[in-house]
Amino acid sequence: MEHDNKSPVAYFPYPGLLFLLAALVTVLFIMSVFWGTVSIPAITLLDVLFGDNSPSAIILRELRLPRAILALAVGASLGMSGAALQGLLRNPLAEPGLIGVSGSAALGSVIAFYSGLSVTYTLALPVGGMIGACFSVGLLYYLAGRDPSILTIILAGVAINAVAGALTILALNLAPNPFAAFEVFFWLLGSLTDRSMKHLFMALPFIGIGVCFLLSTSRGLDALTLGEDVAFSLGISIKSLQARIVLGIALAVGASVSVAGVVGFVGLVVPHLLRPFVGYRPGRLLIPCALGGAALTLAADIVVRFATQGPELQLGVLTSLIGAPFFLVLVVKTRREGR
Amino acid sequence: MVFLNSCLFTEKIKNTIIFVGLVFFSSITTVSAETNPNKPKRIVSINLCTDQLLMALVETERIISVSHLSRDPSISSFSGSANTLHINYGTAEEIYHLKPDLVLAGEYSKKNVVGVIKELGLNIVTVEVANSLKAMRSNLLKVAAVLGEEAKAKILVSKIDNLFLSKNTYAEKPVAIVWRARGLTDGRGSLVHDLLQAHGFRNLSEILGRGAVGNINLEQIIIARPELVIIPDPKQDYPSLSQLLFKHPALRSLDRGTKPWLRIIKIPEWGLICGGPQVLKAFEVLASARLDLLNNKQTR
Amino acid sequence: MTFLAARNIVVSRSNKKVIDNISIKIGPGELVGLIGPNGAGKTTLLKSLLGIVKPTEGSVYLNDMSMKTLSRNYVAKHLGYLAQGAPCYWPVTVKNIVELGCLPHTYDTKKVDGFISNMVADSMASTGISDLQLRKVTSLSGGERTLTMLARCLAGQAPLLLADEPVTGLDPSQQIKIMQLLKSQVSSKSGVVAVLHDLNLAAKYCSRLVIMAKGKIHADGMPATVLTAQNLSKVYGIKAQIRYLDGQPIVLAES
Repeated sequence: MEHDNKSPVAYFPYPGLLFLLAALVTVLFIMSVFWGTVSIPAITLLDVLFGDNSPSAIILRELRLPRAILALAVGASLGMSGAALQGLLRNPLAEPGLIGVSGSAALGSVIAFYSGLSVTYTLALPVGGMIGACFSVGLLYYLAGRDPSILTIILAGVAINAVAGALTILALNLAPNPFAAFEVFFWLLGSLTDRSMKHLFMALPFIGIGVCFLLSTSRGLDALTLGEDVAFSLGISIKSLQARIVLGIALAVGASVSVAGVVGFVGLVVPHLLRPFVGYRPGRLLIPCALGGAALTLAADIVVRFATQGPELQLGVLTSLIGAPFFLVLVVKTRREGR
Repeated sequence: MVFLNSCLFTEKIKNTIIFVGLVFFSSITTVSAETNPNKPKRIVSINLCTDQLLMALVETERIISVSHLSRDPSISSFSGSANTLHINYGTAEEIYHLKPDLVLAGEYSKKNVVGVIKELGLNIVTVEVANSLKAMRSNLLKVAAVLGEEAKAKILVSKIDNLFLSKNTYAEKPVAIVWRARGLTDGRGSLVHDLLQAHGFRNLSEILGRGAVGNINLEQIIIARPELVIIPDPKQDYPSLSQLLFKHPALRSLDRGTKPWLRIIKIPEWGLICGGPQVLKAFEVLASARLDLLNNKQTR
Repeated sequence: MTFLAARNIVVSRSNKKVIDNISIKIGPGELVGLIGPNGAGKTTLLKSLLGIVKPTEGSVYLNDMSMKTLSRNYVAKHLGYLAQGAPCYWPVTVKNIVELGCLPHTYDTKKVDGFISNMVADSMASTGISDLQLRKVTSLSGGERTLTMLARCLAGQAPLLLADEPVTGLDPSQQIKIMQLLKSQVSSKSGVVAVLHDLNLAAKYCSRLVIMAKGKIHADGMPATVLTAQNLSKVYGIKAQIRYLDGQPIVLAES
C-alpha cells in the first residue's frame, strides 16, 4: 500500500495516455485490414473504396474492413462497459461476461435468430441481444446494487449465467434447424470471421448510443467513489446514473454479442491494466478503456487468423485463455489484500 | 475398343473376387448364429446412412423402422418414404421391441447401443463410412449381400464403375471445390474428391494441399479462384448460421454477370452427408455445370 | 442565509417509525450537536435533512422551499455531507477527493478560471492536509481521512455542513482538531450539524444540543440546559453527575 503513494503511473498525463492508446488502435486497425491468411497486393485505399471490383478490393472492402471496424467497436463496447460496471458496483472484479450480461445477450440473440425473427426484421438480432443484456444487468443491479460485496456480485452472476445457459440450450432444442446446437456452439465462443457490412450496420448504431450513455456517467462514477449517499449529496441523481449505466451496458454489450458472440474478459483485463494510469478514477477510466478494449480485440482478432492451420481459432477462446488466468491472479491478489 | 474391353474384363474379374471376398467378410461380421440370412424380412436401421442404403435397395414392406433423421428432407433423399415408415431414435429398447431379423448400424452409431443389441442376440451389421468411390462400391455390395438384393446393387455398382472409367477421359479439367459449413472441404482421400475427379474436375482442396478433411476460408477461396464452388443446399427454410457464410456479399458479388469470377452451384445437403447411391444422383448436376463452364470459356 | 427545516416528518421502515413526528430548524451561526443512544434515529434524521432519505410524511424545507421541488444541484450547493466512516471505494489521491467536493459547481460558467483549483488549495490548507494531497486516501489514518472529507465539504462551499459521527473512533488529538475545525466553520453565514457520541466533546464545542431518543426529539437547547442528570438518565439510562468547569458542563457517567 505504501508503495502506491509514489507510483509513477499515477501521474501519467491523461491526454498523453489517450494519444498513445489511440495510436495503438490505429496501428492495429491498419494491421487488421492488411494482414490475413491471404496476402493482398499493395492496393490504394481509394481503389478499394471507390468501385474497384478486383477480388483483392472485394476482400478488403467486404471482409477485412467490416471485420476491423467491428473488432474496434466491439472491443470499445466491452472495455468501456467493464469500466462502467466496475465503477457502478465499486468493485474491480465485475465484468459483463462473468456476471451474466453476455450470456443473456447470447440467449436473446439465439432466440431472435432461430425463431426466424431476424429473417423478417434484420434488427431483431441486435434487439434480441440488447433485451437479454438489459434484463440481466437490471437483475444484477437489483441483487447486488445496494451492497456491492463481491460475493453477492459473483453469486448473482453465476445464477444468471446458469439460467441463461440452460434457456439457450432449451431454445436450441426447440429450434426447427436440427443443426442449431452445433452451429451455435462455435458462435457462442465468439468470432468476427466472415462478418459483413450488414452486421456492421446492425450493431454500430446501438453500440454508438450505448457508448454515449456510458460517457455521460463519467462525473457520476467519480462521485460514487464516495458512496451513493455522498454522491447524492453532491448533486448526482443516483437513479438516473444507474439507469444510464444499465442501458448503456445493455445496448453496447447486447449489440456486440449479437454480432460477435461472447468475447469474454476484455471488460476485466483492460480496466484493470489501465486503472493505475488514470489514478484509479472511475470516470476517467471510460475512454481509455474503450481504446484499450478496441486495441486488445483488434490484436486478438489478428492472432486468431494465424493461430491454427485449420479453421480459425474462436476469438472468445483466445480472450478466455488470456483473461481467465488473469482473473484468478486478481482474485488471489484481492484476497491477499484482505478486502 | 479392344483396350477398353480388356479393361472391363479385368474389372469383371476384380469384381467377382471382391464380391466373393465381401460375402465372406460380411458373413464374419454378422453376429448371430444364423449365417447369411437370405432375404431378411424385418429390417431395422438405426443410422441415417444405412437408412439411405436400405431404402435404395429394399422395398418398404420389408423395412420395419428407420432412424428419425430420415424424415428430414434436407439430410435424407428418401424423406418421402420415411414419412410412411416407423421411425426409431436408436435406443436398444425400441429396437428390441420391434423384433427385427436384421439391424443395420453405422460406424459411428452409439457403441453401447450396438453392444446391447448384440447381447440381446439380434443380428446386427455395421457399415463403415465410405470415404472413396471404392468404399462406396464395396459397402453397396456388402449390404446388398446381407439384404439379399444383389441384383439391384449390380445396377448401382455399374454406375460407379462407369464413373471410375470416365475419370481419365476428360481433356480439360476445370477447378472445382466442395465447400461446406465453416469452410470445411474434402481433399484427397475423400469420396467427394473421387466424385469431382470422376466428373472431370480438379479438386482445389487437393491443389491447396489440404488433407481428406481440410479447411479453406472465404479469402482463400476468392484468391484461389476455383471455377466452380459447390455449396450445400439445405432445401429447408429455417434460419441457419452456416448458410449465412454462403450468402456473404463478398462471395455473392463474384458470382455475378456473364463473366463471373467464379460460379456457385448448390447440391442438396443429403448428397454430401452419407456415401450412398443418392450421392451419385446429387452429383449428376456437375456434368452439365462442367459443359457450361467450358462453353463460357470458349465464348470469351 | 441558509435555513433548513423539517416540519412534522415521519420516516417509517418495515412498519416501524424510525423518525416519529420531528420538527426542527437549523440555521447559520450555530454548531448543533445531535446526540442520543444508538438506534435513536440520528443518522436517519441527518439523511432526511439532506434529502437522501425521503420522509414518509411531512416535508423538509431548504430556505422555505420544499426539498421535493428543488433541483439536486441547488441542494448540493447549500448542504454539505460528511458521511459516517468517510467511505472511499477507490485508492484515489487526497487532491482528487477534495476536487470532488466542487462537483456542484462544475457547470457554473460565471466562475472564474482556476476557481476550482483555488478552492481545493484553500480547503486543503485550512484543514492542514496540503502535504498529503498526493497520498492515496486508502493509505491514510482515520483522522486524516476525515480531514480529507472535511476539506472536500469545504471546497464545495456549502453554507450548512451535516456531519455524521465525524470523530467516532479517532485519537483524542484528532478529535479535538476536527471539532475545532468544525467550530471555526460557524459564522453568520454558515453552520454545522454533527452527530456525536462523546457527550463531553458535544458539550464543549456545540452551541446547541439536540437529544434524540426513539425517533423523537427529547430536548433541544444550550448544552447547559439540555445536559441534566434527569435527561441523561431518561435517554441513556445512566446515572450521571454534571460538573462545571469554567462554565462548561462536564459529564461524569456512572452506570
